[in-house]
Amino acid sequence: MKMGRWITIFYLMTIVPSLALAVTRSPRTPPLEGTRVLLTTALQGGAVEAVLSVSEVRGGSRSIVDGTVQETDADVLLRLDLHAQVNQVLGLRNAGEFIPYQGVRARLENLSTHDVTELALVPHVSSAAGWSYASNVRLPPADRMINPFQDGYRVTIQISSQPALVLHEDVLPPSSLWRSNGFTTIMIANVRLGPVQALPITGESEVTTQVEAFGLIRSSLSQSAFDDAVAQYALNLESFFQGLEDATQYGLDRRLTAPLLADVDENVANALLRREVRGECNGNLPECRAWANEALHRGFVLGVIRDLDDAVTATSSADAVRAWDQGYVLHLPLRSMLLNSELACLTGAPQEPALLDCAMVTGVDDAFISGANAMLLGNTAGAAAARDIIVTRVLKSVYYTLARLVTQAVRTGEQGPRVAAHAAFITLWHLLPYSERVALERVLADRGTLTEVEARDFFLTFNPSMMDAGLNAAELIHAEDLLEVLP
Amino acid sequence: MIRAALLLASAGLLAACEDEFDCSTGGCDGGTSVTDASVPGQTRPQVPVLLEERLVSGGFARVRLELLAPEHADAPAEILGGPWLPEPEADVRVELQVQSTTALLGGRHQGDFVPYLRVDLSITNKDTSQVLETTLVPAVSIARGLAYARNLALLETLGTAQGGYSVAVTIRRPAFAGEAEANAFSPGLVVDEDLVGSVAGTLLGERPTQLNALVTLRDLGAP
Repeated sequence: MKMGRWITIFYLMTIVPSLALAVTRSPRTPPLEGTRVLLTTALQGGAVEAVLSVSEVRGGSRSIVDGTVQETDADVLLRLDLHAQVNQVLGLRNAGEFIPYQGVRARLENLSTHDVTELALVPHVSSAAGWSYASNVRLPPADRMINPFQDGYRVTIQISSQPALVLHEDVLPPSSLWRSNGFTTIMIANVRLGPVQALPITGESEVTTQVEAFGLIRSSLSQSAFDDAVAQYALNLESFFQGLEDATQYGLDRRLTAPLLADVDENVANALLRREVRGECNGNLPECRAWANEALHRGFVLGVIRDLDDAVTATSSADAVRAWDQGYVLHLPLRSMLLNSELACLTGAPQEPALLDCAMVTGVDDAFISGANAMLLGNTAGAAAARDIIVTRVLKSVYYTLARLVTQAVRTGEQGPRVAAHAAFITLWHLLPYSERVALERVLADRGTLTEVEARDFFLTFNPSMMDAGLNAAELIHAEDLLEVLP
Repeated sequence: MIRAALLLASAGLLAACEDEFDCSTGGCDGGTSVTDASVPGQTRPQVPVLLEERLVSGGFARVRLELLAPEHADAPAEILGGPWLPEPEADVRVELQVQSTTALLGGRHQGDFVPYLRVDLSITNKDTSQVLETTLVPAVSIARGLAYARNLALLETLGTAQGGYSVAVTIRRPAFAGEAEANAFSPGLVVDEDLVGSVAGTLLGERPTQLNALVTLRDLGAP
C-alpha cells in the first residue's frame, strides 16, 4: 500500500509532466526569429499596458490550438501580455504584474484572402515569458500550400473582465478592468506576423497622396505647366511640407533648427509660383523648374528622415510600424535619384583603397526590410542601424547628384545645371549633420549664411569622409568647382 | 464526521441551514448555547488575525492566511462555493494572500499575486465537529491587492466553539485547459513547455498545499 502511494506520487510529479503535449510548427510555416511584438497599447489611462506578440508555436501541459485543446500543428503562438504599468494601481502591487481573470478574444483576418479566424487566448504561464494569455494559432487560410507570413493580417484583440470576480468596497465604483460590460476592443491594426518580406509592413500608408502629388507636379513641370503644379502642390503637399518645418520632429542629434528648416515649403512654393528663390528663379522657367525639383526632393528626404527617426523612438509598436511604413513610402519618389547615383558610382573610376559601395537602391531596400524586422523583434538598435544606412545612402545620393550637376555646370556653363546644383547643395546642407555632425560641427556652427570660406572648409572635410563612406573618387566635388557654381 | 455544506447566504441555502440545524435557537447538535456573540455583524475580529504565514511552492511563493473584518463587496449572484455573504450578515472574512517570492514560476516580482489557484476552505467546530466547507474566491482590493477571500457567518453557521475552530485550507493547482474541473476562477491554464517539467512540488504541481490553523472565539472578538 505504501509502495502504491509512492508510485502514485511519482506518477503525478514525474510522469504527468512528461505527458505534456507538444505542438509542432506547420510545415508551411517558416521559422520565426524570436518573439515579434506586433502591437502595444496603454489602457486605463496608462496604468495598464497590453503587448501582443507572436513567437514559435509552443507546447505545454495541454496542446492549445485556436483557443481549444486539440492536437494539430499550428503556425504561431499568439500572446497577449497584460500587465500593470506602474506600482500599486488597480489592486496590483508591482509594475509588470500580470492582470489575471480577463477573457481575451482574438480575431485575425487575412488581408489578401479575407479568411478569418476567431479564438480565445487562454491563461498561459511560462518560465521565460511569465503569465499571459496565449494560444497557438493556425493562420487563415488553412491551405497548407500557402506561406501564411506572405500575407498581412488585420488583428483585433478584445478583453472582458471575469464576471465572477469579487470586488471589495475600496475598488468601487469598479474600473472597467475588473467589471466590464462585455468585451472591449483594445487593439485593432494591420500587422505582419512573420519576417517582413515586403513593405509597407501594414500594406497601406497615409502618405500615398503626397507621393502621387510628387509625380504629378514633376510631370507638370516637365511640360512647364506651372499652374497645374501650383494647384497640385496647394491641394496635396503644402501642409505636408509646412509640417516638415517643425524641428522638434527630428532626432535631436540631427541638430535641425527652425531657421534651417524655415524655407522647406517656401522654396517649393516660390519656385512653382516663379518667384525669386535665393536670388534665382524669379520668372526664369528653367531656373524655377530646377529649384522646384530639388526642393521637392529635399522635402521628401526630410520626410523620410523624420519618419524613420519617429519609428526608432516610438513608444508603441503600432506607431513605430506606421512611421516606418510612412518613411518607406516617402522614399519611393527618391528612387530615381538613388538609381542615377548608383549608375554614376558604378561607372566612375575605382577608388583607392577600394571602399566603393554603389548599392544605393538595393542597399536602401535591404535596410528598409532589415530595419522593419529588427523593429518588429523589439531590436531598436537594429532598427536605428538600418535607419542610419538609409540616411547615409540618401545623403550619398544627394552628393552624387550635386557632383553631377556641378560638373555639368562647369563644363557647359549652362544656367540650368548651375541653379540645380545650388538647390541640391542646399539639400545637402540640410543633411550634413546626419553623418558628419562631429567633424563638421565647427563649420556648421553658423549654417544660416554660407560663405566661400565655409564652403571650402566644408568640402575639405566632407570629401574624404564621403570617400570613406564609399564614394567614387572620380565623383569628388572640388571646392573650386563648387564655388564657381554657387552664386 | 458530520459534514454540512452550509454555504451561506442565498436565501434558500440559509433557510435550509436553519431548518436542519436551527442554530438560532441553540439547537445545533453539540448543544453549545449561542451567545450574543453569534449575532452577525456584532462579533468581528477588530484587527487582522494572522492564522498562518509561510513559504510554500518550494519557496517560490508565500502564503498568508488571515481573519479580517467582513467587508462590503460587489460580487455576482452566482459564485463558485456559494454566494458572497453580504457584509452585515457576516462576522468574519477569511483571506489568503498567495504571492510570488521571486521571478520564477511565472511571477515577475516579489509580491506578484499567483492567480487561478483553486482554494478550498474547511472550518470545523471543535466542540461539535460540525463542518463548513466552501471556497476562497479571487477578490480585488486596492488596499490589499488580489487575494483569495470570503465573508463568513461563522458563529451563526457553526455555533460557538469553546474549543475553537480548526481551519484547513487546501490550495490546488489551477485547472488545466480542457479539464472538466475548469471553472470561472480557474478557466483552464496552459503551463508552457519550458515550465511543465519543473512544477512538481510547487503551486502548479499536482500535490495540493495544505494550511492548518486554529481559530478561537477570542480571535473572533467574542467575549
